[in-house]
Amino acid sequence: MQNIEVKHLTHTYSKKTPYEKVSLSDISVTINEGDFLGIIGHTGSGKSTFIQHLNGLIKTQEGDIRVFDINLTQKKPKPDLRKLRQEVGMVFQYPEYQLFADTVAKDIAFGPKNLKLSQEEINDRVRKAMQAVGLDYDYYKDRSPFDLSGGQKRRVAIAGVLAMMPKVLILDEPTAGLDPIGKRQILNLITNLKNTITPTIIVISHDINEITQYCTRLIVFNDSKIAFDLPVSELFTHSEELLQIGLDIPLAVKVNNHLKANGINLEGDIITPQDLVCAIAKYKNQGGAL
Amino acid sequence: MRDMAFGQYYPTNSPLHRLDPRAKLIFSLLYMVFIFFAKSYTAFFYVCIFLTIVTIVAKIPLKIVLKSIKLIIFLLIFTGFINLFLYDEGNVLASWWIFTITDRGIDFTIKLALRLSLLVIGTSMLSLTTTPMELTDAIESLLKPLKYIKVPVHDIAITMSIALRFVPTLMEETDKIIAAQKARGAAFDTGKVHERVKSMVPILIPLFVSSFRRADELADALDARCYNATQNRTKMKKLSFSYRDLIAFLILAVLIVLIMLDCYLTKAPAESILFGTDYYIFNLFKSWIG
Amino acid sequence: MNAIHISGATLEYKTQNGGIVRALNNVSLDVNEGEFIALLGHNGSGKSTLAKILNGLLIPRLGEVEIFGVNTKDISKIFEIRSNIGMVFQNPDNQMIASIVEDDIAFGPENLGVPREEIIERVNWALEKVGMSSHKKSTPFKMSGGQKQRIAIAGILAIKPRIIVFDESTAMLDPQGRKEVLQVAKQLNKEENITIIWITHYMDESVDCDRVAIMNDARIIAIDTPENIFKQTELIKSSGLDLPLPLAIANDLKAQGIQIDGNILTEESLKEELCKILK
Repeated sequence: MQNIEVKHLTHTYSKKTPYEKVSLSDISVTINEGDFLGIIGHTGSGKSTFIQHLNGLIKTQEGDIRVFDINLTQKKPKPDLRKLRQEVGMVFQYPEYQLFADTVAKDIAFGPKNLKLSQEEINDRVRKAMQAVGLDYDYYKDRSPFDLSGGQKRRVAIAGVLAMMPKVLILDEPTAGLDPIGKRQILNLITNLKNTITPTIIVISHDINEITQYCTRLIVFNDSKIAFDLPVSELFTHSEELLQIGLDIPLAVKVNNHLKANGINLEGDIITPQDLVCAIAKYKNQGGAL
Repeated sequence: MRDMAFGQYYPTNSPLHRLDPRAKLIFSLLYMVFIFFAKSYTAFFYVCIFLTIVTIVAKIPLKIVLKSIKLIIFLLIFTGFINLFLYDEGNVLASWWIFTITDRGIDFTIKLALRLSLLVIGTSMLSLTTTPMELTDAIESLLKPLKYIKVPVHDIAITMSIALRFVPTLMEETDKIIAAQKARGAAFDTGKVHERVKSMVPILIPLFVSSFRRADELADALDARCYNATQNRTKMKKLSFSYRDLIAFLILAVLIVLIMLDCYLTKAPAESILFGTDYYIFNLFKSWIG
Repeated sequence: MNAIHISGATLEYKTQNGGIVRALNNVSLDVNEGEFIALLGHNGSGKSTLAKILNGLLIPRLGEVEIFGVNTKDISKIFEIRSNIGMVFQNPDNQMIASIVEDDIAFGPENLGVPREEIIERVNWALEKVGMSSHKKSTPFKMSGGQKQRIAIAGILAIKPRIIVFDESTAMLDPQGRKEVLQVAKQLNKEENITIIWITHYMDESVDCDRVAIMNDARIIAIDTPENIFKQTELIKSSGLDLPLPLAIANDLKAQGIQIDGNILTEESLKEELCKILK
C-alpha cells in the first residue's frame, strides 16, 4: 500500500533574493507501507528539506505530495495538518533539545493533548510510549526530563512523538552525539518499533555502516536531486559513483571490492560485517575442500 | 534573511565603507543635529545634494537607500495628516468642522516630512556602510575615556559583540524548536489570546534551556582563550583616522555651513511664510517675471 | 619535564538534589611533549572533567595537575597555563565570539596583549594551518560544521599553545567534517609538535594515535598503545565502548576458526590481511 507519494517536488529557499538556493529539484518518490527507508547525502543536499515537506512543516512550492489520503498541495479545502502530523511522526536531530515540561509524563503528553484526546486516552498513550522506548512508567513519569542522561532524554523525546501514534515515523540522525551504548540502545529501539508499532520508518543518517544494518531501501540525495533510490542490496553495485559524490560506503563493501580486485570472489550480497564474515567463512571452507 | 549579524550592511568596498567607523558615527550624530537647523527648502535642497553625493560615493543603489523610508512611511502619513489638518496658524485656505488647512500648515507638513525622510536616509547610510562589529569597535573606542571612572567599557563591547554573534544562531534554534513542537501537533496561530500566550511555553522553555547551556559553554570557551588575562588588552584592528576622514569631514562641514548660513544670515521678513534663502529666490523670480 | 603531569587527581561535584558524584577518582596521567593521546569513555565517565582540570577551569580537590611544570593551583600563573594548553569544545557555535572569522581568531592573542603586528601574523598563520585562509573575512554562520570547527581550532592556535585538548570536537560533525578536523589535529601534531589530547566516542579516530587511555567510572583504567588496548576485548566492552569495526570483523572471523593476525585496527590492514589469507 502506498503511504506517501511525492511527484516533481521542487523547492527554493529565499526565492527572488541574492541568497536564493535550490534545495530540491524535481523529486519523485513513493514510500510504501512497511518500508524501512534510509536517506543519505551530504549536509545541505536537500534531505532535511525533503522530510520536512512530508509532515507539512514546509509549504510545497512546486509539485504534488500525497500522504495517505491527505493531499498537501490542495488549495481548497486546506489540507488537515493536524491529521497529517498524527499520521507522520517526526523526530528531529537532537530531539532532547525540545523537552520543556517539568515531568517526563507531561512532556510526552504534549502531542496527544494537542490532538484534544480524553485524559484517559492521553494517560494510556503516555504509558505505552514510555514502554515502547524502554522507560519504566512508574519510575520515570514524575521525574524532570532535564535530570536524565543524554540517551534517556532522547528516548523521552522519541516517546513524545510516538504518543501521537504515527503510522510513519521519520527520524533525523537519531544517534548523533551519543556514546556507543546510547547508540546501540537507540538502534535497537528503532528496529523494535519497526517490528511492533510503526510499520513504516524513514531514517536519515550520516553513518553508512549503521544505516545498512537495518534499512532495506536507500535513497541518496546529491545536490538537491535523488541520485539513487534502490534496495540496499543493489545500491553498492554503484560504489564508484557513491565515492565520486563524496559519500562513504560500508566497510564490508570496501573490503569485498578490494578482494574482488585481487581476484578473490566471495559469494552473495555483502553489505554488513556479518555478511562479510559469513562469505569469507564459506569461501575458506570451499577452498579447503578443493 | 538570517544574516542579522550584518544588519542592513551593504558590502561594496567604497571609500565610504572604508571611513573610520568612529568618524562615521560622529558624522552621523552631527548630521542628525544639524538637519534640525535646516528650515528652508533651499537648505533641504543642499541636504539632498549632499545625500546624492554620499550615495554615489558609497556605490549603493538608490532603491536600497530609499528602502529605509518604507519603514517610516506610516509615521510620515500619520504625522502629515495631523499637521495638515490641525495646524491653525497662517492664512486659512479651507476649513471644515475642526479641520483647517492653512498655507503655513502645508508648508510645515512638507518640511516635517522632508526632515524625517532625510534624517532616516542619512542615518541609514551609516548602517549600510558599517558592519555592526565596526560600530561596536567604534563605540568601544569612543567610550574609552569612561574607563577612568571604572566603567567596564571592554566587557560591554564584548557583550555587544557576542550578542550580535548569537542573534542568527538563536533565530535558527527558535525555528527548529517551533518545527519540532508543530510536528507534535502544536498550533501557534489559532485560539484565544491567553491560549496563544500559553502555546509559547513549549518554545520559550527549550530556548531558555539551550541559551543557558550555550552561555555555560561559551564561558568555558572564553576562559580557555585567556579572557581577562591582562589589563593591557591589544586590538588587531586599530582604528585610525586618515586623510579620507578629513575629506569626508570637510564635505559635511560645507553642508553644515550652508545650512547655518541659510538659517541665521539670510533673514526674511516675519510676515512672509517663506524662510531664509527661499525668500530671496522667490523675490528674484518675481522681479524676473514681473 | 612532562607536557602534562597529573597525580592522584580527585574531584566531586554536587548534583541538584544534593547528592555527590565523584567525577575523578585518583586519576594519574603523564603525557610527553609531542604525543597524540586518545581518551575514550562513555558519557559520564569523567572525560570532560579531566579535560577541564588541565587548564584550570576546574581545580581538583586532591592531587596535582602540572602543565609544563606549572601547577594549576598557582592562581598567579593561570594564564601562563591557559596560553600553553588550548581547548576545542564540542559545539563550534558556542566557542565563537565574533561575527567575522579574523576578529574571532584574534580574540585570544588580544586577551594576552600580543602586539598588533604579531596578532595579524598569528591570525594568518592559524588560518593557513587549518586551511581556511580564503575565509578570513567571512562570517562563520553559513559555514559547514567542519569549517566552523576548524575556525575554532584556528582561534586556539592563535594563542600558540603547546598542547591542544579536543573535547569531543567531532561529535556534532558529519563524516566529512570529522575527517577534516581529525586531519588538522594530526597535522598540527606532526608539523608543529603540538601535544594532542583527543577525547572521542568514535573508536576509529583513536586507532593510529600514540596511546589510548580508557576512562570508566571516574578513573583511567587502562592506557597503552592502540594495539594493546583493543586486544582487551572484555575491558572495552565492560567500559561501554566498542571495538573498531575492522577489528570486530577480524575477531568474528577468528571465532569462525579463520586464522587472522591480531593487530587489525584499520581498513587497510584488514584488506591486506584478508588478501593474504584468502589467496
